[in-house]
Amino acid sequence: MSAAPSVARPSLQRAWRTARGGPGVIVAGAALAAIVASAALGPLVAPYDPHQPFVGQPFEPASFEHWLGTDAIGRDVLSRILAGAPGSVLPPFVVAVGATLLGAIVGVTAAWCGRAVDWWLSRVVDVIFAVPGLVLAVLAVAMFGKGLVAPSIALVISSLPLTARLIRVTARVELSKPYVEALHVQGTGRLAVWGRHLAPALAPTLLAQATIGFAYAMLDLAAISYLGLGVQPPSADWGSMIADGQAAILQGHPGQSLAAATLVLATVLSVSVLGAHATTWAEGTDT
Amino acid sequence: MLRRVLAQLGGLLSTLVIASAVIFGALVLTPGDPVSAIIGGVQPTPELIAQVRADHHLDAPVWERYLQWVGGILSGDLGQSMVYKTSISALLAPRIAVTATLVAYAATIVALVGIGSGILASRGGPWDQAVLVSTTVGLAMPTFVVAILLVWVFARLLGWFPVLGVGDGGWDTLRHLTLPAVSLAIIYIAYVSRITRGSLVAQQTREHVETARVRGIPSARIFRAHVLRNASPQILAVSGTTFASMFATAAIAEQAFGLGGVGALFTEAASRKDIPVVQVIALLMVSIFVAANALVDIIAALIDPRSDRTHA
Repeated sequence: MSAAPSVARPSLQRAWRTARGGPGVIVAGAALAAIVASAALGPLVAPYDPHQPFVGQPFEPASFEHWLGTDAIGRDVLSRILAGAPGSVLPPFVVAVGATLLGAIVGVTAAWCGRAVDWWLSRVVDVIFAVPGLVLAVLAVAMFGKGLVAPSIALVISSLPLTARLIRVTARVELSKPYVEALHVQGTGRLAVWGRHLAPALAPTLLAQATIGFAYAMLDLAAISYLGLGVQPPSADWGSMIADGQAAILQGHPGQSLAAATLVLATVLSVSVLGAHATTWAEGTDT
Repeated sequence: MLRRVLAQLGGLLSTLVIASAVIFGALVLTPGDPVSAIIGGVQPTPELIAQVRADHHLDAPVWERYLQWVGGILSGDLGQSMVYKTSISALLAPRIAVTATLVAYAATIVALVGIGSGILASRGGPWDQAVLVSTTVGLAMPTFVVAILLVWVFARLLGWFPVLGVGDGGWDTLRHLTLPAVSLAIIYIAYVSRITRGSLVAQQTREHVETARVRGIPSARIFRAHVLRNASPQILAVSGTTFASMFATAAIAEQAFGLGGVGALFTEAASRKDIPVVQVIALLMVSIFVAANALVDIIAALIDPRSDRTHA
C-alpha cells in the first residue's frame, strides 16, 4: 500500500506539467479566457450604447474615450465588439458541442449495431460529404431566412457524419485490441467494457473533433454574417462588423474591420492551440 | 481500371441523384408561400394566383415536379429566376466565367505555393520551422480576413491593385482577380502545404528509400522516383478536394471584391428567397464537388496501380 502514493505522484506531476504546457499554451489560454469573459460580460461592461450613433465623430482614431475608435456613423467600436461577442462565440460553441455529441452517439451506435447500420451510415456520410458546409448553410438561409440559427443547424448536420465515422473507426480499433478480448473471456459484460474502457479511449478523438469543429464553425458562421446572411443590422457580430467596416478601409479607416478580424483569428487560433494541447494530454492519460 | 472508372461513375451518379432530391425536397418544405414570392408586391387576384401556380407547376405532386426539374436541367432548361424574371441559364453564363477564372487562378497559386512550400518543408531545417509557423497562421486565416488585409495593404496603402470588378479582359482581368485569388488561396495553401509535407516525410523514412540512399543513388532521383511518386496520390487527393470546395468559398471572395460570380448570385438568391436559383446553384456546386473527387480518385489509380487492386 505504501507504494501507491509514490507511483501516483510522479504521474500526477507529469500530467500537471503537460497540462500546463509551454508559453504558447499559456498565451492561448489567457487570450481565450479574455474572449470568454468578454462574451459573458461584454454587453454589460460596454462603455457606450453599441447602437447609438454619434457618441463621437465619425472615424475617430483610438483614444481614451474610444479605445478602438469610432465607425462611419460615430458609434463606439469597442462597445460594438463587446456587444457582438456573445453572438460570435456562442453559436460556434453550440455547433461544436452539438456535432461532437451527436456524432459520438451515431458513431457508437453504428459500432454497437454492426454492419447494417454501418452501411447506412456510410451512404449518408457520402451524400452529406458531397455538400460543402457553406453551401448547406446558405441553403438553410434560403429556407428559413436570415440569422444564425438555421446556418448553425446546417453546420451541425454537415460536420456530424465525419465525427460519427471517425468515432466508429476509433471504436473498432479499440475493440479489436487484445485486452478487450481478455475482458470478455473474464466474463466482463459488453456494457461494462464500453463504459469503462471504450469511452475513455474515445475521449482524445472527441476532444480533437470538438476543437476542430469549433474553429470551422466559427469561420463558417463569421463568413455567413460577413455575406450579410447572418446577424442583421443594427445588431452586429464580428463577421458582420468586418463586412460593415470594409468600405471604410479604402478611405483609410481599417480600424473596425481589423479589430473584428483580429478577434476572430485570436479565438480560432487559441482554441486550436489549446485543443491540440488538450488532445495530447488526454492521449497521455487515458490509459 | 475500367471497372474502377465504372464504379466511380456509379457512385457519382447515385450521390448526385440523392443530393438533387434532397436539395429539391428541402426547398419544397421551405416555409412561406412560393406564390407570394413570385408575384412580389402586386395585389394577388385569384386568377393571378391560379396562373402562377399553373406556370410554375405548383399543383403537381412533389415527385413529379422533381422529375420535371431534373429533366429540364438535363435538357439545358434551368428554369426561371423568381426575382429577375429571366432564365437562370442567362443569369449564370457570364457569372460562371468569372467564378471559373477566379477559382482556376487561385488553384494555380495553391498548387504552386502549397505543394512547393510542402516540398521545401519536408527537407527539414529552418525552412521547416518557417513553413510550420506560417501555415499555422494561414490555417486560421479565412478568406474574408485575408481579403480585408489585402484591400488595406495592397489597394489602400500601396495602391498596386484595383479592388472592384473584373476589369476588361486579358491582362487587366488578371490584375483585378489577383487579390481575390490570393485571399481565396491562403487557407488552402496552408492546408495543402501541411499535407504535402506530412506525406513526403512519411515516405522519406520508408525502408526502400533508406536502401536507395545507402546504395548511393542521387538524392534528387530518389526524391522524384520513390518519395514524390509514392506521396503524390495523397497530395493529389487533398488538392482535388481543395479545388472543389473553392467553388463554394469563392462566394466570399466575390462578395469582398465586388465580383459578379456564381457565389455572389447564390448569396443574393438565398437572401431574397429566389428558390429556383438557389436550387440550381446548390446542385451545380455539389456536382462540381462530387465530380472533382471522382476524377481525383481515377487519376490516383492511374498513378498508383496498387490502389486499383485493393479497392476493386
